This record gives sequence, structure tokens and C-alpha cells, in this order.
Amino acid sequence: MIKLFSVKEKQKKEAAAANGKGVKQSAGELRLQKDISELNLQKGMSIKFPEGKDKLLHFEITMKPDEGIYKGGTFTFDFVIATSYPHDAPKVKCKTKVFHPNIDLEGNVCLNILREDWKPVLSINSVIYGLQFLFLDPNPEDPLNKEAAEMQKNNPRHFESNVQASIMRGHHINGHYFPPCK
Amino acid sequence: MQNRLELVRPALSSSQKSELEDTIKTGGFYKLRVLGGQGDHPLHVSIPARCLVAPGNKETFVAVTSYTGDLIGISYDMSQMQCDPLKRLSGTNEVTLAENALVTVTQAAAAPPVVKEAPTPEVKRTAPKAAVGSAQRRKDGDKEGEEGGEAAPPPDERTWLQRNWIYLIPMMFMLLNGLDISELAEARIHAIGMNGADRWTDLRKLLTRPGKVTGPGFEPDPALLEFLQEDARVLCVGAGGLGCELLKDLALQGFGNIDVIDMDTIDVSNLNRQFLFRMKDVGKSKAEVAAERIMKRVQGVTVTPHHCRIEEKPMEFYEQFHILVLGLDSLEARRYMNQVACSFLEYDDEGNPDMSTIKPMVDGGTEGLKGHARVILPGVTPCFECTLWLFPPQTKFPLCTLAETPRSPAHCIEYAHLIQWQQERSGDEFDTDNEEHMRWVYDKALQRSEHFGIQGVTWQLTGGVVKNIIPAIASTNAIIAAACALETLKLITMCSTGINNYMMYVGADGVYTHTVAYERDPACTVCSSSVPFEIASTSTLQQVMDALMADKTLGANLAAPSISHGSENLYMRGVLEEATRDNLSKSIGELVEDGGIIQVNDKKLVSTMRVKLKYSDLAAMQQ
Repeated sequence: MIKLFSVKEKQKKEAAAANGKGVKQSAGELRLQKDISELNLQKGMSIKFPEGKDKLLHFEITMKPDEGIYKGGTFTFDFVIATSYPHDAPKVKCKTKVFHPNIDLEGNVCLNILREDWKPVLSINSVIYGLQFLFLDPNPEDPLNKEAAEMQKNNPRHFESNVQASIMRGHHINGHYFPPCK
Repeated sequence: MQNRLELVRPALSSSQKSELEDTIKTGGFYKLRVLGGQGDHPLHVSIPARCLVAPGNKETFVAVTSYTGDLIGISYDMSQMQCDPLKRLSGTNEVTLAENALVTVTQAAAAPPVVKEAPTPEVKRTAPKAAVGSAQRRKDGDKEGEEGGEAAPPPDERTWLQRNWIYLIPMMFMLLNGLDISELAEARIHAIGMNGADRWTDLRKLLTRPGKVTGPGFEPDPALLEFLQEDARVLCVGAGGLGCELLKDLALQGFGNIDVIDMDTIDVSNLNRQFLFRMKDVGKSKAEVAAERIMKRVQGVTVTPHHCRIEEKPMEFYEQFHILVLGLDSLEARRYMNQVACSFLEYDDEGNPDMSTIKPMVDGGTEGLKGHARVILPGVTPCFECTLWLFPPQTKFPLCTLAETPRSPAHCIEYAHLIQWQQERSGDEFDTDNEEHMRWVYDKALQRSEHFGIQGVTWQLTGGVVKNIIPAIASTNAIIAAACALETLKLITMCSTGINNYMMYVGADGVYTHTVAYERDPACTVCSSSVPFEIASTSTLQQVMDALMADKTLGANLAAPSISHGSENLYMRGVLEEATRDNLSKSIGELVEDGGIIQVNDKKLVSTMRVKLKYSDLAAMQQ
């Protein structure tokens, strides 16, 4: 090692060595490239990179559940990935206003792997699976939208018809208007 | 009534004076030898050096005797005595420590002679290495300092200033500390030998002598010190809590050229631990003020400040340093610096790191009473990315818990911060530095906690939760910075083997440290070796991809590769296929420079493969 700093033979490295090299992307971005190249989008899903194909840190995913009570709806989620990815989870918001026990009116999503259970081994794919699961199996026991949760628990039929009405035609529920999102 | 011993010390010769100063400096003790203990054996008492520094100054000590009335100790107070069982002498004895005559005891007029045969205590200053604060009997008369002691004490004719000058020094220090008179602070450094002629004594011992624990290739050489002072370039990243300590340690350790980079400005809340800064510096650049202060206080060091973000500096900037020392507080900044250091690394054809391209990095980190110091030699020891899992995830509460079943004050604060803010002030960008915003969150959290019957929402906790603040502790910073500075010295001079490669420190219950040799991740996307791959620059991207897949070794793990170069996605399978398809027909020389590294991702690969492209046609042209 002393050779490295040797007093006499302080070899000046060619300046060119540094040229053209450098930190062009964060390690988080490198990991995201892998995630995106392996992204498994199922039928009816789409992804959009609003800032172009080389700016992977921000994208929108649209999904259309093909079964369950949210069938027929189109929901868009906004993903913002910090450079600290995958140490930190992606920040995900639902851009579509939806009557759902685990999604509030501001678009906050209550999904364990987005907060307390996030692990660096998880990927964008895992988050998408998680979101799909929320539409197939809304969980009224752990609500973010309390009114939706109570309606689902107390009167599942009524809940279902409200959800479908809001998706198909737009509908007022408890004073909030949910525009159609077919 | 207790015996009062009055000690009067003679004027000092200049050599005695300097000896005395040394003793004060080292916090040493004077040993008093008092004759008249039991059986006329001399009694040795240790007294802190400062007790005796003022000639003629009257100090009151407690004299302690045994049951039989023998004098067994002299001390400021009983609590410093460690002998048993104790009894105080009644009456007053005056012991005068005079020039050469050592000691005279004068009986106070009214005092009954308690000590049998009126002992004539002989008190003498000897070597300052006596036992700390304890009075001990020695049956065998210690030979130390028994010489001397003839002439009679002259009357003390010195002025008050002459007698008390030495007391003024500590008072001056106190004033200096309070007033920050930097010019005078210089005097203080001289007083404690930071800039003196013997400044490099210890360092010379390390650098000019062989030893059994020296690092690989170490050759003792006085020129190493010169190298340290004149040629070695060290970059201190961060001038905050750790940075201040690091700069001070590095400068005092002999590094002559230090650069410091920090984008921050000084805040009032920094002043308790970032000791290079003063009230008047609030709002100024940390790097600039720190550099100025260090240069003012340590002779012969040049500190160059850079007040900017680490991302703003080109790679050439980082390349000029022999070593990078990090005093950072965020994972992002560490990961960035890690990529910088690793980007210089090159591997030879056998896949061994080229030692001359290694940019060593020493990283320190503290969190409350815990800290770590680690040494990163890209290609040799694990880099940050290899051990990213070391960083614990931030505690995050489930949103639904916050919304429906809050149980702790932190839940209430996070609810106000994450959910209520959006609901009630959705147009406003929340800013942790905006007092009104923080106050709003605090008020809402307090209301919520009252509603749920939860106690403990405070203004302080609100700041802690929202800004994710863990109180910084100055001593932790000092310990970690010291370890880092030492590792820096070891790496630069190889005068000792460094830590291998991660030292953790826990100061919560006593002092605990543990050093672990973490292992590199062979598939690390940042520091692992890239695979060299030769191809003509005129080949299309499609041809490059086909060639990669046809390669005997590389192709084994490729089925449907995606290729990126830096942030640029050249060809991506799946969702970006359409957007990148056009690149397939472009020549690779157009997309990637010679020697550039491409990232290859494939479902069959566990992690990204890095391929270094070498253009065969260009090499041929050069020949």
C-alpha cells in the first residue's frame, strides 16, 4: 500500500483516467434499471414515464382489476423513487379518487410493504402485486377510510353497489363525489 | 478545632519552574514527604500539583492522624483521603515549606501539642508520579527526593503578581473560552505545546522506527513526516459534528493540506458540539468558518474550504486526494461518496484491483451514543453498497394505525404530519424548517393526543419525529472522529495496520467497541469488477447483445438482456422496449465511449452485470 502514497514515486495518473468517468447515476437508479427491465405488467396494466425513458425515478402505473368489486375501474398510481432506493420504499399515491377502505381521499395507500414492512429485497413488482391485492381483497379491519371500512363490514352489498356505481357513472357517497373511472 | 498546616513554597529557579509547568500540564501530583509519622518514618502524601504552585500562598489542608495521634495524611478534604480509620487532629499546626529548609512547623499559640514530640514534618516536592489522591504509609523510607534541605527560608518579598502569576493562567483560559479572542487563543496553544518544537516527537516515533504491527510495505523514513505535511492531500467531507472533530484531529496529527467540503451553513443548534463555530458565525458557511478557525489555531496547516454540494464537484476534484474522510449524516451522501471513490477503481485482466487506482475512504458515523468507524478500500474491503443492509430501516408506522388506532405520541405527530397536513393544507408544501408549519403539526398532534388520551406530545418530540432527529452527542463525535483520524494516518503512512474493516462503538452502557471484518459482495453493482469485452465500435447494439449472448461465459446467464449505460437506457425489455427499440440499429460507438461500462440486466442474472467495452477497431487504429 505504501506504494500508493510513496514520497518519491508519486506517480501522476493520467488525467484522462477520470475523464468521461464519473457518477452518472445513483446506485438507487442502477437498482431501478434492473427492477424496470424485469417488470411484469399483467394484462390491462400500463406504465408511463412522464420525464422520459431515462428518468426512471418517477412513473405512473395504471391498473384495471379484472375481478372483484373494483372490476371495470381504472386506477392510476404515482410512484416516486428516492435515490436512497432500495433502502427506502417507493412513495406511492393513488391519483384516482376511489372509495376504498385502505385508500383515503388524498390518495394515501395503506399497504404494509410501502411502510413498516418494506425491505430492500422487495421490488417495484412486489409493490404492484400488493396494489392489485388491495383491489381484490380490501381489508376493512385496518382502515384508512373509515367510512368505507364500516360500510364494507356492516353492509357488504351496499358497499359493493356504491363502489360499482362510482366506477361506472360517478357517485356521491357520504357527501363525497367519486367521479367515474372506467 | 482541626490542625491547620500552612505550606509556604519557596521561589522557583527557572528549571524548577518549567518542571512545575510540566507537572501542571500532565495533571501530575506532588509528593510531600512529611517526617513525624509513626516511628519517625517519613510519610508520603500526594497532593495535586496545582496545590503547591503559588509561592507563599496559604493553603489550608486537613491533617489526618491515626488513633494514636500520628499524622498519616494531609489533604484538602477528607473525601480525598483513602486511609482508615481517621481522626482529625485538634489544634493548629503551621507547616511552612521554605526554601531548601523544606519545612518548619510552627505551633499556633493556643494549640495544645497533640502530636507527640512536636514532629518536624519535612515536606518536599519530588517526582510528579505519585499515587493519585491517596495518602499511603511507607514503612521503608522512600529514597526519592531526600536530598537537599539546608538553608533557612528567606522572607517572602515578592509581589502579589509574582506569587500568584500561575493562578492567572487558568483564569485567562476561562476568559478566553468565554470571550473567543482568537488571537489570544494562539497563546493558549503555545502554553500547552500544540505548536512547540517538540510537536512531532510522537509522530516521529511512529514514522521513523520499525515495528511488528506496521502495515504492509512500511519503511521507516523521516520523509514520511514531510510527505504528511507537504504532499498528502486529504479531503474531509462534512464540517458538522464529526467534521469539526475530524478537522481538528487531522490538523493536529500533522496533515498539512486539508480540504473540507460542506454545503451547510451554521445554525444556532450546532454550537453546542461544533466547537469551531461561534454565535457570530451563525448563517455563514460551515466549511469556510471551520477552515479559517483551524488555520488560526494550528500552525502550518492549509485548510481549503469548498462551500457546495458534493455532487457539484467534478470527478477530477475528488481524484486529486490521496484519501477521503467522511463525516456525514445521511445514507444518500455516503452512497454518493462511495460511488465516487469506487469509480476510480480499475481491475487488471485477472480481475485483481489495480492498487494504484484505489481511493481509500474512512467513514465515521454517529447516532446518539452509538457510532462506527470503517475503512473502505474499494476492491479490497466492502464498500457501502456491499453492506447496505447494515443501515437499519427507519421506523415507519402503518398509515392505518396512524389513522385509526394511534397508541403513542409519535403516532399522533405522524398523523398530523402525514395525513392531516394534506387534508387541511393540501396546497402548501410542508417544510420542516418553517416554524409555523412545525407549530401547526404540533398543535394538531396535541389535539389528537388529547382526543385519544395519549400523553407525551411535546414540541421537542414533534421536531424529533418529523425531522427524524436523534440527539447528537459531542463525546461520541469526538471518539469516532479520533478513530477515523487515526485510521487516516495509518492508511497514508502505513505506520500501523488499520482496522479490518468496521469498528462499532456503543457508549450507552460504559464503553464498548467491537471490530468486524465484513465481506465484500462479489456481485456488488458499485465496486465489483466489470467484465472486459472486446468488440468493434461499428457493431450495432443488436450485434453487441448477440455477441454477449454467444460468449461462452457471459452468455450462460443471459436470456433476454436489457442494456443501460449510466442513466441512459439503451435497450430495455418489457415496458420500455418500444421506447428503446430504435437504439438496436445504432452503432455501439455512437452510444458508449471506448472503455465505457454498460450495465446488463437479465432475469437469469442475480444482479446487474457490468461489462467494460473495449473497441477492437480503435485499438487496431492506435497501433
